[in-house]
Amino acid sequence: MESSSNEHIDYVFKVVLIGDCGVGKSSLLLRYSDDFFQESYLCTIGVDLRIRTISVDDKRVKLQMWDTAGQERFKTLCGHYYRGAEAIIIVFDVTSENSFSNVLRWYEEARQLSRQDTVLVLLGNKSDMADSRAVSTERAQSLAASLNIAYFESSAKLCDNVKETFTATTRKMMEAYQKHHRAHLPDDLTNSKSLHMSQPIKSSTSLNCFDCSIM
Amino acid sequence: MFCIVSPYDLLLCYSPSLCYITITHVSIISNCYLVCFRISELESALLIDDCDFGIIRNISKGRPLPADLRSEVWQIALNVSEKGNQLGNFNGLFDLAEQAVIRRECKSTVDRLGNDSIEKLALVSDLEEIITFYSKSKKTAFRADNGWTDLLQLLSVLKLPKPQLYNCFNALVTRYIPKYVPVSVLKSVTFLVSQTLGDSQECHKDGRPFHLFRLLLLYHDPELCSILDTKKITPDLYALQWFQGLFSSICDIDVCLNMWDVYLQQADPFLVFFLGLVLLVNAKEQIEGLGMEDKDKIIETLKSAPAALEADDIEDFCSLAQYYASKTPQSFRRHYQSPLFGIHKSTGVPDGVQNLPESQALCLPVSIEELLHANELGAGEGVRYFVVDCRPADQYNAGHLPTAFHLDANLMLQNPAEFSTAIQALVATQKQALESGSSAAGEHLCFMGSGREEEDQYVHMVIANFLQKTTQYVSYARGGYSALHQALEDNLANGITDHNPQSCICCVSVPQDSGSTLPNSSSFASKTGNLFNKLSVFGSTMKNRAAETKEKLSNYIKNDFPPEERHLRASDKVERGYKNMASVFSIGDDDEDDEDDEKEVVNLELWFSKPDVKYNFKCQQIRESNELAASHLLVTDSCMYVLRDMPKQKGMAMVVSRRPLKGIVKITSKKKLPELITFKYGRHEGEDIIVNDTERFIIEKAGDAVKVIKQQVVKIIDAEEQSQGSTASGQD
Repeated sequence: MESSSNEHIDYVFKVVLIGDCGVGKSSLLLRYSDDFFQESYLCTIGVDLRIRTISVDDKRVKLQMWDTAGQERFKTLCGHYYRGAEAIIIVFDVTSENSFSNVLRWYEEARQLSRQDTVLVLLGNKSDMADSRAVSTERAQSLAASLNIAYFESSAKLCDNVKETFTATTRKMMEAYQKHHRAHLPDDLTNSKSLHMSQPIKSSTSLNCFDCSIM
Repeated sequence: MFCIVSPYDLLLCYSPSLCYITITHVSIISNCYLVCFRISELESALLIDDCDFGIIRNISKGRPLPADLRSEVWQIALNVSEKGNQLGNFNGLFDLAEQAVIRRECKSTVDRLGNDSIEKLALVSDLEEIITFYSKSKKTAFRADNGWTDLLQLLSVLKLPKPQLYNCFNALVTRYIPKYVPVSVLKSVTFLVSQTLGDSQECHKDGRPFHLFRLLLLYHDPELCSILDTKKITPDLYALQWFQGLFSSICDIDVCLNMWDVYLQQADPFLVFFLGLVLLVNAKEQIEGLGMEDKDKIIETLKSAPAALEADDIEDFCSLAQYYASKTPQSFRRHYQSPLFGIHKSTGVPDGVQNLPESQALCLPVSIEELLHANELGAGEGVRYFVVDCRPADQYNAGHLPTAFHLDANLMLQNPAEFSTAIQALVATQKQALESGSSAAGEHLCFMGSGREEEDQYVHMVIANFLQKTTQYVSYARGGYSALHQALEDNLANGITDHNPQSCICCVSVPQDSGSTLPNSSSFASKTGNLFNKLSVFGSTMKNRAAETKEKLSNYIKNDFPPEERHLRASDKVERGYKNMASVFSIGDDDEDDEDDEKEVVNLELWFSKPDVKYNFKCQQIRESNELAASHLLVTDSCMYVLRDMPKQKGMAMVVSRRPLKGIVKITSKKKLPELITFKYGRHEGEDIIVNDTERFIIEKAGDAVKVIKQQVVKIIDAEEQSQGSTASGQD
């Protein structure tokens, strides 16, 4: 799973998952990074990190996925991680009206604390629980449309549409990067906050560039 | 009834009940748990006019008290025996908005006591008066659930006269009941504010005591804390009554009286948190046994946990609480003392700058002062820390605590495999340090960041990782390295290892564009592998040694030779043109190329016996200020060194200058004073001599010295001419 240090990496992207407690952020990441689902629930303390390297459109992309705690007590702490993110995935639980109504708040916070070019995505989790569903796909879609962000629906438990969501998000990040990149060429390249890596990680100069981005 | 779960063995050594064998007065006291009590001694002590708290504590040794002495001891412990009649200031008006509620609550409180009816009536009016006056004088509204009636109920068992009852109540609430000021919420998190500042109940929920309690639980039992967090059982749901009434509303009255005996003798307002901790840890198995759905059941179980205590348990209960308290960093007390138990309602952040509001703190903070102090204490004294420095490698290399273990937080991001290896190394090192009793050893992990958000977000990630793995005793150093730097400002050279003022972020302290410089070299090092890492570390130690010497030297100069500093700077300017000499005097100027020429402090004997030192002459250098400095001229094949004696360090000298013999262009002596020799340094340009610098000495054996030096200079010039000649002839 983990890329060895001499592997060629084209992009390193930071993805932050936010949303209410218990909507399944950790489960989604666990499913995506380790293809595993845990029935018992344990809330995340502060922040957790998972890393996966994938191939999208012939590019090698290293995803650093930050799993933040949904609890209010960690809000300030987690807010620090928004700034460097290339994408923020707002997760809600399709069986919980409450988690859906909080999406707007999470969205505002993410917009406030993140960069302009950060990709925002809305993700409804627990799509497997059709019986207790409280938020219809249409409602979620129209909310996402009004916010001008993409909407996905997934089930970490059944491994449904998890990979697809991350792949699509990655593609969006690559697009956003290229857009941003073009707009700021050429002198912004060296101290750009974006993190394109045209060279393998072992090359030291591009490395600096990479590190700037995560700040 | 009350079982001791975890540190049982330690409790045995800790419990004072083991040393009661010498007791003489084992007489007929109603309760058997009082046997170990030296009653008559206490009685006689109480007869003395100026019997103070210390005497009481010495005699009763923190154990429960006999009922007949209780009220007197409590008043001394609460320091109210001399307070007089404060209640006399009451204007007699019962006109509070909540007066009806107060009356009702007082009545039901007295009903529970079960006295006879005449006493009851008198007591109800006493209690109402006390509460009304207290509420007015402290400008704090009464609420049925704020615990006042519970406290008064227990206090009224002492059957004190009204003024004394008021004084005790007043002192008890002020000193021992934590206040519930909601923590300030960051304004940037807008929706949080609107959510939490709803009704007063919400303020309670956000109250400081509960955040502190959770942090303490997290510190001692992260697993249990995580379970409760997951079930969304926050301390306010079960611990409110514990804190507000010091268990008086839950425990049996006799049990509670015993508990307060111990409590008031301990005089530690924070003890209630540790008592609560003991209760929680005891209930852990029960909590684990109950599922997600049983949230309410768990809350009820926890709420009523103190009710299971029996009088016999109190000593163990309190000893266990003390055990937990002794295994907890102490600095939180200072931080929370004024907001929780201060006389004035505190609304802001209590002291100093905080990285996070405490409600958002990831784990228990430890002050730098405590960290430094803990390192000084001997083994077995208090909490000892194993400091884990999580800053990027370049920052670590530019200065760190001598005892700090370095764990680069960025590694977790860059190379998880290496990171887990590093954690294994950390655990092994900690274990080893503990076994060998090293000064760096400590059971308690204290993580240190830089004190700046850009690095500390990664440090938090590492801390969260440890907490996630339910590691016990995890804390962070409040303020991080910058606080450490500030605390050691006057003693940086000794307090911080490898301190390099050129690269230490606190010394440089130029506001930097976040992200432009910080993590570069660290990740650079981690990426390019160990070799580079080592090299960079090596390089920086080299640099640091030079910097350290410089620092010492500048201190030395400042302390002992005020005029010299001026001189050195002046000569520095003069010598700048001189190659290899440039940085000799330039304190604070770090030119890596000139490392060899850093002003060194050396052992004279050692230098005299060096094989390449051909001659040495005792002399006195005439400094610009015309002062004389006892020195030595050392001549080698190619150089002349000036070593100056250090009056404070016998046998040591500092290398003032190193002159290539080639650069000596003129040696003159005064006819009237043949010992006074002037050396002129410079270079030849054609026929002209360009003099860059001059040094004057009074040399004991001036004749010999000049002769020897001249010979050496001639030798070098000859050798040079020869080599030039040979190259020239080779070209022919």
